Amino acid sequence: MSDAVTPAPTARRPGGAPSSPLADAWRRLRRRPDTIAAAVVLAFFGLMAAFPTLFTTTSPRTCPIREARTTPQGWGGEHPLGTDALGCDVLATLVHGIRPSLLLAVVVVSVSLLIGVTLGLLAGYHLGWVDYLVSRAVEVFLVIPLLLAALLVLSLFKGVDLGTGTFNVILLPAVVLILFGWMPYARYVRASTLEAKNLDYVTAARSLGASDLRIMVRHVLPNAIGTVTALLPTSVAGVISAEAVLSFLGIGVRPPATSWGIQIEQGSEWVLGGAPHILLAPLICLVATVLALVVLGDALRDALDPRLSA
Amino acid sequence: MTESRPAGAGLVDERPEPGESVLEVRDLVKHYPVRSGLLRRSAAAVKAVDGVSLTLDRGRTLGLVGESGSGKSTLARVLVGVETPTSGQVLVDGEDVTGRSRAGRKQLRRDVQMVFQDPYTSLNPRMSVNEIVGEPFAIHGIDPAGGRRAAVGELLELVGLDPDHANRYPHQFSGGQRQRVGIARALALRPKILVCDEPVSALDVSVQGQVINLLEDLQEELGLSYLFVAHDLGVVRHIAHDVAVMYLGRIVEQGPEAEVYDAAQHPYTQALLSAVPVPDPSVRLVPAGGAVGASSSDGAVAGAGQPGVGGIVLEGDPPSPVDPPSGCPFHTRCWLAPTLPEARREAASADAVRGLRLIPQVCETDVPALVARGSADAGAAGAAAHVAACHFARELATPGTGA
Repeated sequence: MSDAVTPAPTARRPGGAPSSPLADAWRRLRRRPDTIAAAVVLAFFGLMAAFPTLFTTTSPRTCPIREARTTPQGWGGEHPLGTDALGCDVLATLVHGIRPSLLLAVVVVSVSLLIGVTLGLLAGYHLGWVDYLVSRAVEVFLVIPLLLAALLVLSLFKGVDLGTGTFNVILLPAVVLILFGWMPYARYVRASTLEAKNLDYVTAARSLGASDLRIMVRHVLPNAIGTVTALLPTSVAGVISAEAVLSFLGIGVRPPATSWGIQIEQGSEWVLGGAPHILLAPLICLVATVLALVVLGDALRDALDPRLSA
Repeated sequence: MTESRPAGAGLVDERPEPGESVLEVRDLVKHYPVRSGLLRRSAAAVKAVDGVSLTLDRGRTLGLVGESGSGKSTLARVLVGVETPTSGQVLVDGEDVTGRSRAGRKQLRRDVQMVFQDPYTSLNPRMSVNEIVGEPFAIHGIDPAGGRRAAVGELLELVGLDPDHANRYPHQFSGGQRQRVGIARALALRPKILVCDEPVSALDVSVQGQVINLLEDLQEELGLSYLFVAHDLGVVRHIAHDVAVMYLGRIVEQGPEAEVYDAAQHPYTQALLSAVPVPDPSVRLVPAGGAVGASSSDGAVAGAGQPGVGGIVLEGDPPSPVDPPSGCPFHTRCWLAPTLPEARREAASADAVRGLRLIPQVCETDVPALVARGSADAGAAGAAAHVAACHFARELATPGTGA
């Protein structure tokens, strides 16, 4: 070939040495200090959820009422973060409440993501009656108020004893929140699928004879999922606070189990009553978790997108 | 399917036998229903391709030209199997592939592959070049001798890229290099036919030449046949052996490249050719003075109807393919029809208030057949005859390709 061109020197690394995309992603991830900090925060909370006894020896269920609303005594005191309105240790409640909160958030977000992405992808890709069914279902679920639906589920499961394991404790709120939480994902994914499926590289794959499944999974989804990943960290926060509302109705995490949502709910009554620490302790932890997820989610998206590589 | 087809190696033995048709299209029709109303009843149809027949010989290039909306891209998409035709037949190597099952169509796709217009959207940005070029193997379950990686390397070398760059992503390449990646992907299954949908119109002129030369080299090396869709008449003249001109979903003129370019018979082809910029400042493109300034459309058309004086300027947009004009689809914009003696005669005799444009009745009522006209073509044995779909093609004077 007489006109063979030498490729432009676009790559930073000499010679284009083979390297796996995952290794590249890790290299880029490591270079960002905010990512490291976010990872440390999440690891810390993860450890707390897994081994709560490492962080406190006090039981969250011993609540001497005469010690109610003790102000934080600092590290080394009997109640490092003070006590709440009933005299329970705030630190102990915080440490023991993280497991149901995080588990609920992870379960709800991942299951509704799975449902939403699947339905949205199918609707956007196939259109026709599939799209009609999915779109109408989305609209129906969007117009039903969450609390009304929660009351319905509550009445359905009123007499059912679900046991006291961590997973059983969060089962009811998880069902309600998944049932009414998958629609945004479906809508976003459907919209981006509509956009992505008409691009030339999808036509190219089709002209090569690729199956619908292959086109959806390999070509459409990776390029349509971007908008949804930005939604995930905030959804986690939304789930944790929504759980608090459900607890108020009696279908959230049931006592004696505790959660951050319940703690925030109860603490908010005493912000102006001289005991803001009851609210602030779980709130700061929640904000830290969500921020860490946002930062990590951003970094992950950048790292996995070859166009944004450094 | 574990058949091993090493890419790039041993391809040369399939030398083309001239004159043998590898692709034949018979009366191909592609209509898109326009749905309206509450019940989504199909009220009308966009007649994107409306009865196209053409033949592509082995090792030859057929250029397909026409303005936007003429249906050339739809035709290309039907040929590669992305769209299913409403009616008509597509024969690859003499076998009809339109009525095939899914598996049969998959085989067709190995024989007919496509090169896309925009190298920036035709490559998945999240896949490395290795994955992109290797995807045909994965889809068809082919394990080439020496492994897929080696086969991809050979393909990249074939199109003039460095095989060491297989791990890069599309955004790390220039437009011309991306187009080479797209060509490598199309060649992976060793197709017989490449459908090139405006493969160079998104590239710089300097790069266009390189890609065109690459396509010509590949044709010689691999015995490929090209259906080359373009609106750039200069590029088509360079690469094509035969040319077909499309207007509103139909072929209006077809023939060997030299004859179509030098002795265009259809008024639409002549108008297209006169719009090609001539790199010579002494050639004037705009018709002189009075014609443009004339008040009625009659005047403008009449003024433009002198090929050779300047460019032929067609008025208005192409009519909607939902409701194409009766008779000859081009009669609403034809610069020739109002100048014909038949038109004048009818104007004098019949109702004089029939409309602004007076054209021969036959243009409005009868669809002209795509037949050979004039004198010279009759004896051209074997080679594609020069045909045009115009009632008055034989009466055309020397075509208006510039001064």
